[in-house]
Amino acid sequence: MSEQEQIWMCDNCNIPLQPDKVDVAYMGNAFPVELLKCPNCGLVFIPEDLALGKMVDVEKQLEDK
Amino acid sequence: MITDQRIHLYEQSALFNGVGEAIRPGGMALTEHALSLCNLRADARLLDVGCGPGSAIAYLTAHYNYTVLGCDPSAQLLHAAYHHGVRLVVQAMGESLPFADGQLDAVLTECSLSVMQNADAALQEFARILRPNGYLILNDFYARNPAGMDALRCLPIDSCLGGALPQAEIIGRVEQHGFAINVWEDHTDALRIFTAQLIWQHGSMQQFWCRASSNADPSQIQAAINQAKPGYFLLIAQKGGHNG
Repeated sequence: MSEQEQIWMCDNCNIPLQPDKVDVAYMGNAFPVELLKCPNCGLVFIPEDLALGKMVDVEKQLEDK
Repeated sequence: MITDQRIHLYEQSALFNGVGEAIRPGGMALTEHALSLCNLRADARLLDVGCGPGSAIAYLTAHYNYTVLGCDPSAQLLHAAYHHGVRLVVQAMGESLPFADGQLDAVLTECSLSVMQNADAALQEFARILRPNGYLILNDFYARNPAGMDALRCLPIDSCLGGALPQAEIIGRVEQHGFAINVWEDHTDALRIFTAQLIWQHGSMQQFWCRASSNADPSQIQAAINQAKPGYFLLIAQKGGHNG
């Protein structure tokens, strides 16, 4: 089962996370993306490969002057 | 590998998929900001030069009382505009506009002038079709490091990047055609966000360039961009002065 097909549960609310629009912000710049989010408390799940891959690339882009 | 076959980046579906309807930095927020800086009549007539699939025309028509016309040389993009219900469009290049003299209140050209083959001819046409004191609203790439722009111009892709000019040259050309500059603003932050959105959608800029231009070497494109450090600007000018 792939990571996207797994059901991730919110540890606080014990309900499944659902895909939702989330504003990703870094260094004062923000843009909307779709991530797994708890519909109750708003906790967002960021997979490790996303944190170490695309997010790093995006951070480098936004740091560029 | 680089070939002689040029790719029109603005027609590539990868760019549409990456950032939704608006295929340029800043999106409609920048367009609305620009309009807020102009003193246009509620029933003003606007022309979107390089309208692409007509997303700005559809948005402005839905949210304002303006009459918004569009033109673009790409039959493919005009077909997409027609498909989205945008009807007031004509196939034409910015350098040769099928409109009468002095009939329009504003010309909007967003991420388009730098793709045109002859920017001076286009600016002359904008001045011709605008009424006295009519507005030129221009947003586009500019060269923050002019020394690095040669590499971009040699790439086998037709995009705003390759046609970016230094700030002083853009302002000089606009003034040369009878416009007075009201506003110059740097919006490079919007370009960074735009790039971040492309990375998010496609995984990396390398993968975006692979999808957008199968004949070009993505590493070479990225190296040229890194060297040139392109920025993004908004310019608002009025034909003949600031009295309108």
